[in-house]
This record gives sequence, C-alpha cells and structure tokens, in this order.
Amino acid sequence: MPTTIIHTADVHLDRAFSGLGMMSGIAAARREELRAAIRRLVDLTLEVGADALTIGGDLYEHDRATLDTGNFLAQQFARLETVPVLISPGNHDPYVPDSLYRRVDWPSNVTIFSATELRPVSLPSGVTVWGVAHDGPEVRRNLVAGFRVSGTGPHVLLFHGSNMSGAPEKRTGHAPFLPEDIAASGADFALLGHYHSGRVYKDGKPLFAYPGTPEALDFSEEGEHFVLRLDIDGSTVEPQPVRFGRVRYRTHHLDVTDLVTSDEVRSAIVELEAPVIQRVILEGQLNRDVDLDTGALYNMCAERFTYLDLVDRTEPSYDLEELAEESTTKGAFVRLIQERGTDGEGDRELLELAMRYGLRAFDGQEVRTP
Amino acid sequence: MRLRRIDLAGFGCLHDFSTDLGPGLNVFHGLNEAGKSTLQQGIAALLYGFYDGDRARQEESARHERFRPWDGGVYRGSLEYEMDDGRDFEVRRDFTTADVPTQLIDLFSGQDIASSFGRSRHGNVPFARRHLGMSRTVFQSCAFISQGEIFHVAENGPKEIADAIAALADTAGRDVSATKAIERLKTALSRIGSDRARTAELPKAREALAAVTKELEAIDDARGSLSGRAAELDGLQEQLTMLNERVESTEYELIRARIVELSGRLEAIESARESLAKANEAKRAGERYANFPVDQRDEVMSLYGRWERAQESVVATRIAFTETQEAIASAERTEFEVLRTSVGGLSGGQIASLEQIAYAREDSWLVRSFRSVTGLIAFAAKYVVRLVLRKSVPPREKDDADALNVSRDDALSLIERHRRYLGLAPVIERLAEAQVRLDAEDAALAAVANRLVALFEAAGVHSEADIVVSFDEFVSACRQRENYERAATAAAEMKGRCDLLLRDRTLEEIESELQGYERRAADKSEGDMTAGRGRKRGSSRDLARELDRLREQRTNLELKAERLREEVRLTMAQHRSRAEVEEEASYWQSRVVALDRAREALRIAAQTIEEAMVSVYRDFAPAVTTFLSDGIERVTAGRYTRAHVDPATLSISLLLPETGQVITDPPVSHGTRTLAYVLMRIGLAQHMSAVGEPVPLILDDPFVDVDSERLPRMLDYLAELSNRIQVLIFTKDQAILDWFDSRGHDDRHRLHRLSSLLPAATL
Repeated sequence: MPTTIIHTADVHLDRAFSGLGMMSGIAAARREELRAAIRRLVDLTLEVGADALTIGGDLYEHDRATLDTGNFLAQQFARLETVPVLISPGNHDPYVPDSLYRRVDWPSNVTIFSATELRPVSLPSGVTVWGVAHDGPEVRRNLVAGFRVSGTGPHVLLFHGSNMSGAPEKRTGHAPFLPEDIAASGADFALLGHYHSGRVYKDGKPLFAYPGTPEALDFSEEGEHFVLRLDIDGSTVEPQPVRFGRVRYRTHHLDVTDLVTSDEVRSAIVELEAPVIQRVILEGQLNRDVDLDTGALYNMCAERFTYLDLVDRTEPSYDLEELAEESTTKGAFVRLIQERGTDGEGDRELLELAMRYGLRAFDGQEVRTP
Repeated sequence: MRLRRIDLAGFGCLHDFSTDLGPGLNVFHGLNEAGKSTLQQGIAALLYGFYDGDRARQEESARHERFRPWDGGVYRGSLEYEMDDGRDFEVRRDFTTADVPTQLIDLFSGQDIASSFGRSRHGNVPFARRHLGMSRTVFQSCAFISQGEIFHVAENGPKEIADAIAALADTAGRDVSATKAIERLKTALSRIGSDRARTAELPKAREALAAVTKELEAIDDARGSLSGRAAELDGLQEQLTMLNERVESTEYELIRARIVELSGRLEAIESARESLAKANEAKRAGERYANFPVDQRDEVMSLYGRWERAQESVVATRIAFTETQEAIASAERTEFEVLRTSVGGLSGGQIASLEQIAYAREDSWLVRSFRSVTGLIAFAAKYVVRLVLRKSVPPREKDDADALNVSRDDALSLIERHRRYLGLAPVIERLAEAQVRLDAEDAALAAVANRLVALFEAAGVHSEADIVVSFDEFVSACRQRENYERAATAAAEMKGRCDLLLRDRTLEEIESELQGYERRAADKSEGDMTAGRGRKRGSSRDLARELDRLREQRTNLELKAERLREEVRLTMAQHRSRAEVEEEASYWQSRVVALDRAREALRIAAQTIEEAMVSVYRDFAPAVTTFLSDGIERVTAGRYTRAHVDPATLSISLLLPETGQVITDPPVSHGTRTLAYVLMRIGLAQHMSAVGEPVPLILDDPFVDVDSERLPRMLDYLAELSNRIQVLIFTKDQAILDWFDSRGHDDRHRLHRLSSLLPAATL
C-alpha cells in the first residue's frame, strides 16, 4: 500500500529576530508567519491525504517557547484527527522536563519521540518510522551509528542531525552522522532536520533528505523554501520537494556613487521588488552633497516592504590621500587619524568613523549619528 | 610655480586666446564680460582638470559643460609653467570629450610624463597637486582672492578676518572653520549625551537596555525555576502513573469483588423471590380466612369446654334426677301432690290453729268435718291456682288465717295429712331440687350453646348439624387463619429480604450493574488484571476503601501537579515572550554600542581636530604674521607695525608705533582690513603648499575698496612680492592700469588687456 509522508523541520517557532535588528512588533509579525506556515503545513497534509506528518526537530526554540505556541501546535495537529504526527525533537527543542513536548496536552495522533535511542512507530499503512530525541541542546553523539532496523519494512528514520560527510575533520556538529550510518541501518530512507536549506542525498537511490526551513528565517536563507513529500511504495522511496515558503528575503546592494540627491537613493530603493523582507546595502562613495539621513530614508521607504533593513556601508567621497597632503587643519586631521590607524593604536573602524564625522563636520554638514 | 604661457583654443567665451605671462606681476585688465573669470577658470582647469576621480560627478560634468565654447568649436588649451627649482612643463588638455585627453610635457625632455602621475579617467592627472602641493580645492580657495570674498570678510571687522583665515587654514573653505567643525561634533556629542546626562540618547538607550536586560534575567531566572518545577512535575507524574496503575488494579479487583457480590446478591434475591412466591401462594390459598375471627378462639374454646362440661353435668344431673324420680313411688308423688295441694300450703300458724281446734273443743264431727272439708277444698283450690300461676310461691300467712274455719276432725285430718305431707316433703323436695338443678343446668347448657352458636354464626362456621361440627369447623378455620398468617408473615419477610437485597433498586438495575461490571472487567487490559494478581484480595468494602484512599491520594497528587502547572503557567505568564524581550535587548544593545562608538568617534574627531588646529596654527601663524607685518607696515606707511597673528585663534593684533599700544581686534578702516586680509591670504596661500612651492596668486579685483593712497603702496608691495611669488591681478580698475602705466618698464611684470583679447603687451 503506497504511503505518503509530509516532512518538515527547523520551523523555529518563537524565534527571536533580534539578529536582523527588528523591533518587537515587526519581529512578532515574522513569528506569526512561522505559525502561518504550520497552519498551511496541516492544510497541505490534509490536502494530499498524507499518511503521516513528520517533523525532524527544531519545531520551536525551547528557550523562547511560550505555552501559547505549544497549545497552538496541539490545536493545529488536532485538525489532522487520525493522521499521525511524528516529532523527533532537535537541539533547539530538546525533550527536557520543561519542554513544550512535556507541558502541553497533545492530541492522541501526536507522537513525540522521547527516547535517546531510535524507537519505532508503525503507521497503519505498514511503514515503520524510527524516531529519536535530543535530550538537551548539546547532543554531540551519533544517534544512528550501530543502529539496525528490525521487523518488517519499509523503514524510515526520523531525526535531527548533522551530515558530516565533506565536513572538515575537526568540525563537530549536533548529532553528527555519515551517510554510511544510515545505509548500514537498513532503513529505506531518513527524514532529517538541522540544515536550513533543502537537499536530498542519493547513493544510487535516495538515501536521506533535509527539507530545509519551510520559511526563510533570515537573509542568509534567500530563495525558495520547501517541505518534503515522501512517497513510499514497497522498497521504492521517492522524495519530492514541494514549494512551500511564502516569506521572501532579498538583499540588494545599491551603489550610491552616481546618485547626487537623497531622493535618487529613495527612488532606487522603492523600485525594488516588494513586498519582501528587503535588505538594502548602500555602498559606494556617497556624494558629499547628498544628505543621506538613513532614518528618514527608512521612514520614506519602509511602508512598501514587509520589512526594510537599511545598511549604510557608503564611504564618504573624500580623496583621503589628497586631503592628507593638504596643509589645512583638515589635512592635518586626516593625517593624524591615518597615523593612529597606521600605528595600530586605535580601533580601525572607530578611527574611520571619527574620520567620517570629522570630515562631515569640516564640510559644515550635520554630523549624523546612529 | 610661475605660469609662463597660456593658450586657450576654445574655452568658454575665449577663442584662440594665448598670452605669455611675466614671472612677476601680471595685470589682466578688461571690462565686464571680457573673459577675466573665464581665464581664471581656464588656468584652474588646465592645472587641475574638471574631475577629481574616475567617476564623473554631476557637478563636475556641469562645470565641464559650462565652459564648452558656445560656438561648438574646439574646447582645449595649454599652459606652460616653471617650477621654483627650474623645471618647466606644459600641460595640454582637450576638453572636448568627457575623457579629457591630457598631456604633461616635460619641456626639458619633450616627453609626456602625464602617466607618471597615475593617469586616471577624465583627465584626472594630479601633477598640479604634486607640483603645487595642494589640491584643487585648496588652490582655488587660497590662491584665488576675489573681490566678493574680500568685501564680505572686510565688512565685518578683524574678527571676521581671523575667522575667514581660520576657515581657509582649516578647510580651505570659506564657511567652516575647525572651531565650527568641533562645535558640530560637540553638538552631536551632546545629543548622544555623557554618562551623567539623563535625557540624551545614550543614557536613555542605556537605561532601556538595563531595564530590558533585567527583564531578560528575570525571564531566565523564571525559566531556570521552571526547569526545576518541570522536573518536580515529572516526578509527580511518575507517582501519578504508578498510582493510576494501582487504582486501575484495585478498580479491577473491586469490580471482580462486586461481580461476585452482585452475583451472590442476585442469587439471594432469586431465592427470596421464589420463597416470596410460595408464601404468596399460601397466602392466597388462605385468603378467605384472612379475616376469620381467630381472636375469638379462646372464648370459643372456653365456651366449648364449658358446653361439654355442662352437657356432661346435665347428663349426670338427669341421671340423678331420674334415679331420684325412680326412687319415689308414683303413688307417693301423687299423694304428695295431693297433700301438697291440700295441706302443703298450711302455714305454721294455721297448723297451730288447727291443732287448737282439734284438741280444744268438740264440735260435732259432722260440722267439723264439713268445715274442714270445705276449708281444705277452698285452700287446695287456691293453692293449685297459685302454683299454676307462680309455681313455688308458698302460701301466705293471710291465706293461712283464712283457712282456719275448719272442724276438729278436719283439723285432725288436716293435721294428720299435714304430718304425712311433711313426711313426704323431703323426698319430694329432693326430687324438685333435682328437677330445678336439672332445669338450671339445661338452661346453662342452652346459654353456652346459644353463645357458641352465636359465635359460630358470626365466624360463618355454624352448622345446623350440631355444635361439635361447628366447633370442628371453627377450629379448622382457626388453623387456616394461622396458616394464612404464617404465609403472610413469610411473604412479608421475603418481601423485606428482597427489598433489603434490592436496596431501593430494581432487579434489572442490579443486573445491569452486574453486566456493567462484567463489561468493565472484560475491558480491563491484561496488564490491569495482572497488576493486581498475587495480592491478597479483600472484600469489596475493603477494596472500595482502598480505592477511595488511592483515589484521594491521586486527587491530592493531581492537585499538587495542577498547582505546580499553574505555578509554571503563572511564572511564564508574568513575563513577556523571551524572543520579544531579546529583540528589544538586542536593539538597545546595538543602539548603545553604536551610540558609544559614535560618541567615542566624535570625541576622537573633536580631539584630533583640536590637535590638528594646534599643529597647523602653530606653523601657520608665524608665516602669516611675516606677510602681515611686512605688508601692513608698507601699505599703511608705518601707521601700523609688527602685526601679530595669535597661533591659538588666528586673531590679529597690531602695534601702534605712535602709542606703543598693541591693539587686539583693532578698529581699523575697511581699507586697512582689506589690506590685512589680502596680506594674510597671501601668507596663507604660500603656507598651504605642502611642498613649499611658491603658489601664484590670482587676485580678482581685490582692491576696489582700497583708497587711492594705499592702492599704489599695495601694488608696489605686490610687485616686490612677485619677485618671490608670481601675482596675477584681474581687474577692470583704471587706477591699477594707471599704476601699472606709471611704473617703469620691467620685463618681469606684464599687462594683459582682455578687452581686445589681443596678445599681451609688454611694458
């Protein structure tokens, strides 16, 4: 009897978006997008008539998780009624005493693997899913090494771990394993979580897959995001990525060198793709006459985007070499700052900032600070 | 540097313009629109080009286009110049395209050495910067002295001069000095705020960060305690699980016990119901005796006993009577009856009277007999009548008296007969008594019999046959009644037992309960059933008590667990989500870091500018002082001597030789201020060369406000100065032309008339 499993991992519910410099209100909207992904995941599972929904860990972030999120998950999974939901906790959502996995009243169709060794759960279709839990945030042992499936197949492994093939020898990962470990286990396939970009590993035939995050979590995760559909028919397994993510992160490098007014900068930004979570990195030499107030620029452009992250990496359009040759106080200032930088007595970036502020002051312009 | 020749094939309004410059003072005279400004810009453009970098900025392109010849012809020029060390060069630029092809010819070798300066796009070859030791900005700000600039500066007094000079010394600009730059930096610093400030950005950010960090710590503390509580909760949960197992097994045992008990109870009920049915049947059978007056049994029995005894007594009495009757002859009874009738009624008085008569006087026997007979007849008649009417009524005395009228014989007969009567009387009386007794007993028997009959009739057992039959029926009925009573009692008892066993429930309910227990027992898992195995099985009451105890224990544990869960919930509920707080903390942290860095950078900038000022002013002030002192003394013809420029502020002080007084911020005339400023600018221009190269001065009609007395002296001073520094004066001032004309021929100085755009004339 063919079996269909919908698999996801690394949803990272309740994640903090502080790394992106988002304030709470905006970050809360990002968190809501992750919840929306869960709702759509359940919809998809119902829509395809899947035999199970599997989650390969990092469903939420334990340190930040709220009971509200736990209850939300329970409520969503309950919508699946008899369709089994199988969860193997990962390093961000370990199975610890105060985890949501132990504090929430989960519906009867939800199975959370709590043992630190692989344990089986048989699906009505005959497929056996072997799951295992991280019991803390720093599980550095191989969860599959030496494991061998038993009983009638097909067998599918479900865990959160790091594929170390191709990784530098001394590098360690969470629950590291090698493809050989999975092959040696006798399992027909392994559904994994941990890496945020989707990938399917084959060794002649499909061996294991990371679905990646269902929704991009930051600017390092631009591009399409997927969940995995696994069709099992006898000994044939067919993993298929299903386009899923709706949140788009985009980074645009905007060279301002040729722009002579702040309005040109604004126009260049508002012409970018929207609505997306847009990072605009302002680069190049900023014309001295351009009054670039990034705060004002943000206020003018932000409305157009889901979120706008303006990064000012422009360099002032000064010829420092030329300035340093001047006999003016300004020239002496440049020389002194450069000397400090050369002497290594100061923080180079700080000196560059001091240079920038000083030159701006010498130009009679308002010194804009963060 | 000295400019030797300039050729402009096309530049703005100038076409095919060329002129050779003198090494000293060069006066370019022309009216308005003669091309003076264009020529100045041409010199600057040939030296520095239009562009500073590889990217053409808009304003640079605009300036480039501004001087494109109006007729669209060639747009190029060349400039020949000589360095102070004797080297000479010619720069050739073609401005036609944005690329501005540029050559720098070393006139000694004839080689184009432009590339040795690092050729860049748009003709940006920095040879002039190297040769003059200053950038275009500095060159244009310092080497060029315009009328407008001087007018503006000299208008406002010596302080303005110092500020303007300072601005030029600081930035080669005219508006911003280092002092103002420091002020701007300090304004930004004050906006960020010091550590002691309260309302500025940095203290606010620090305060916000401290608050949010504290909140984060509180959340982490709460989460730490949450972990402990969760572990405690797990322990409770394990206990609960074990307890639940015990509850389950005890429930199972209890169910089994209940099944046994209920089965027994149902059996007992069944048995009781059977008994009840039998009792009810018996009861129904004796139903008609239900109201039989068994309570009269004792009376009946008593009466019946009496009746039997009375009957026996009557029989005995009758026998005795019969025997007595048989013992008395019939003649005697007749005689006695006759006697009794005749004399039996005589009273004692009458007897006495008769005896008196008989024994007292002798009447004729006839008379006496007659009287006696009649008397006796009368008496006897009366007596019989009375006897019939009132059987045993004795003769009354009165009657006795009435019968005394008898004869002696009669009296004797009577007496005799009376005696006979008295002799028979006891026997007769005994018979009579026996008769009476017999009658009495008959009467008593009849009374008892009547009562019995009445009772039997009332009980409905009266038989016409006889009392004995009735009595037997009565006794039998009594037994039936007793049987009925017993059956009723048994039925009641069985009913009571059934009720007791049913305990206000129906049999169906109990059966249903039993079935329920049986189902529950069947539903119990093997584990539950085995859990209780091997344990001593108690009664259901004991098990129920045990179960209650376990359940209570479980309830307590559940309550404790619930309290713990609630504590956990409350612990988390009293805080915002960690992610949210973390984001705020991160925001404020980055803000504090950024503001801290900005503050530090501002401090460094301000401090470095101050250091730069000290350094620059320290060298600059003496150099300017030299030019100013020499020049002011010459131009004012000794009115002021020994000018001094303060190296800290660049403010000017002058010595008044007349009074020996040093005047700071001297209240000098506008013309004097103009001269002072120009002199300082000349000093500044020379000082600004980083390589010590004399920088040509390009003066754009700067002496408009200088009076005619001082103007020649100033021009003389400049002519003298031009021995060291080439001076180019652009003017439309006739006075300067006149001054130039008034001087004798000197090859070093030249007048260039721009109005005709002719080659320069030589004085």
